[in-house]
Amino acid sequence: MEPKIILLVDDDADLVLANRLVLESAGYQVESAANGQEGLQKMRERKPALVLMDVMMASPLEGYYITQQIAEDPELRAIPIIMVSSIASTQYAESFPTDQYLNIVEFISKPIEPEKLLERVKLYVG
Amino acid sequence: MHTQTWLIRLRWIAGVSALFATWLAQVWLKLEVAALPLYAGGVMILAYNGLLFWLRSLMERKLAQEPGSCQPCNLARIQIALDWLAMIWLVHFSGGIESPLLLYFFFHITLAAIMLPTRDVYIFASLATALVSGLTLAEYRGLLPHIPVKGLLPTPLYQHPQYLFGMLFFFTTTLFVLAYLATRTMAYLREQQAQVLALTKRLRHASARRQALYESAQIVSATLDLQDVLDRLTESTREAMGVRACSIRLLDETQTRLRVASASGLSPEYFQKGDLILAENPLARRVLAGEILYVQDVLNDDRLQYPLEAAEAGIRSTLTAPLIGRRGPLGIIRVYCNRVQRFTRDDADFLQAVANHGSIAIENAMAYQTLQNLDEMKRKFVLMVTHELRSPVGVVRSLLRTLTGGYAGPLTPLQQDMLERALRRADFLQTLIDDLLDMASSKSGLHSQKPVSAVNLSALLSRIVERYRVPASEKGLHLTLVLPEEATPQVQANPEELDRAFNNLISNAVKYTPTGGQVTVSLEAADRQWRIAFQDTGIGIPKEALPHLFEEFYRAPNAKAEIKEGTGLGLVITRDIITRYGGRIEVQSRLNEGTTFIVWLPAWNETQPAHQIETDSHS
Repeated sequence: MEPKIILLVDDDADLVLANRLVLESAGYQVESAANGQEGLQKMRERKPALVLMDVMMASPLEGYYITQQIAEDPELRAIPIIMVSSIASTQYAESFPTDQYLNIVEFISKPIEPEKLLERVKLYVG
Repeated sequence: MHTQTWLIRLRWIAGVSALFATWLAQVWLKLEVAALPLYAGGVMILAYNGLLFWLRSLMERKLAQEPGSCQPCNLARIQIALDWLAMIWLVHFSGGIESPLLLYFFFHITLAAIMLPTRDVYIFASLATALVSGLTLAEYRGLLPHIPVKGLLPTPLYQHPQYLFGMLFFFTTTLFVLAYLATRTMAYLREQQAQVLALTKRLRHASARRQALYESAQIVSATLDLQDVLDRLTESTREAMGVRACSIRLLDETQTRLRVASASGLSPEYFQKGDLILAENPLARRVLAGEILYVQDVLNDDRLQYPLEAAEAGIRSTLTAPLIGRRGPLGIIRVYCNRVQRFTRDDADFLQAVANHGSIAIENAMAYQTLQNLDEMKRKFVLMVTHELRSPVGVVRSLLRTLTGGYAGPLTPLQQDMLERALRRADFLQTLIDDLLDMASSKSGLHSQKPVSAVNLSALLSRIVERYRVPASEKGLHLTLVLPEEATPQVQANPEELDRAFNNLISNAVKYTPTGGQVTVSLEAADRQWRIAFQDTGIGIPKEALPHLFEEFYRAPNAKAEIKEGTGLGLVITRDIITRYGGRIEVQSRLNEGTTFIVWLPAWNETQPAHQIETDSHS
């Protein structure tokens, strides 16, 4: 069986490295992008099973704007997105529009424990 | 002025009396009088009185239109002069020096004293003397016919020089003595009146200023907005002093210039002439040193930096007082007048008093502004730190966890041990940062933005206790949760914050209870509150440490000895959260026996009106 692709969109290479090691140890194939536009491009090229999207990259809401672009693309719209933020999740969820058409399945706040990461990914990807 | 109206009114009576007296003398007393001229005299009096009455109302109208356009005194002089002529006419036709009408001159000299300046009274007295003496002399010499009231005197007296001399002497002296007495009395009365008027004016003035001072004192506490304080001060000072304008200039950051901060009564263009530069402005320097300075004429004062601009704006004199705060000069307050030499010592004292009040208000407003800026800086700092400090530590932890979790390949036991030590340090750092952030955001009011909802305490406590099942059993502790039978023990709070508060308490209990111990968390209803007890059989808290337990960074000595790492912030944060949602926290402890933390939170049921919940959660 072809390994499932997980896309990590985060401008922090160290964090990408840590998460990549954890996910790869569980048999996932990991792709990464350092910014929103690159993430969008990788999504189109590789069709990942799940995206972990950092909210705050070069600009404070870059991750959020990218999810909007994703939602407008009929081919990408179905891919589940986990939003990752360094700010406490509820605090963030407050300021986040809960539009139905955005396929954000969860908010997770950093740091993500390896066990928790695997648990959440398994939940949405299998 | 009204005495003249009164005199005109009296003269109607006098005219009619003259006619009546003549009739009486002729018909009733059967005296032989020169009736025709006497009747003519009466009619003449009534006639010129009518003329005076008309003149007077004319004058009143004119005065109402342009005050000071004519002199009421002149009319009074005309009145008395006409009366003198009428009197001498009547005297002549009623026997000259023998006439009893002579006595009426005394009335008139009194009236003149009431209405006219002293000098005029003596002139009229002299005139009366001259008229009477002239008439007497003319009759004596036969230049004028003597027209007696026949039957009034047994013998004619007008040919007796001794009598004439005596009569004239006493008439004249009486007239002058009366003039003297009346004018002195009037002068005294006028002086008194002037004093009363001046006193009234001063009282009114003082009361207006007291009111203004009261207002400026009120400004001190009324507002903390600097611009508002300054504008109110200039406005109220201008009104109270009745001056053209008032301005406040404050020292700039470099303390070398005075910049206009507020002005009332002058156009903004006027102040575009520029700042007052202290190096070039000895006057401003002296005021800032504490002096209050007058400029009595802007055009003849070389201390001014902008005399021509001031003169152009119509300003002729100014008064400037220093605004001095607790830590030195703040600026100056200046009032402007259109006239030369307008200001008095009284004005200076008043402006100084206003400046003293104003300085306090200005300083308070400035301090408040600084505080607000600091608050804003703190807010930004907290947000910056959230990302810049928290995320690298998070990344370090993630990398370490990846290593210790074996996700990057197998480790030797030594490597494993060292990495776990590093991770513990990173974990502590993470906690410290989180705690500090929590405190900082709590102090900067960021918490109030957190959403509140109904929180089921049973569910929340179960979840937290579950979190500690593994660490507790690893340590050999009994962890018990006692819940009430009620289905929905609810409170109104932010669930994450409440989680954090309870988590701290359970974490402490597990941390500071030795192997074999017991930790019990129990929830029960207490009046309209929920009582949550966190009881342990741990090391306890020394009595002397109890009062300091909720102080920032404080840790009890035995807790420090037991576990090295600890921020001393956990309980502070817990109490902050509990009190934010209307609750309170209490601690009971015995050294080496155990500790119980008890939390009370107001119970909440959905039937409560929403606004009540809101006040509860903010109290």
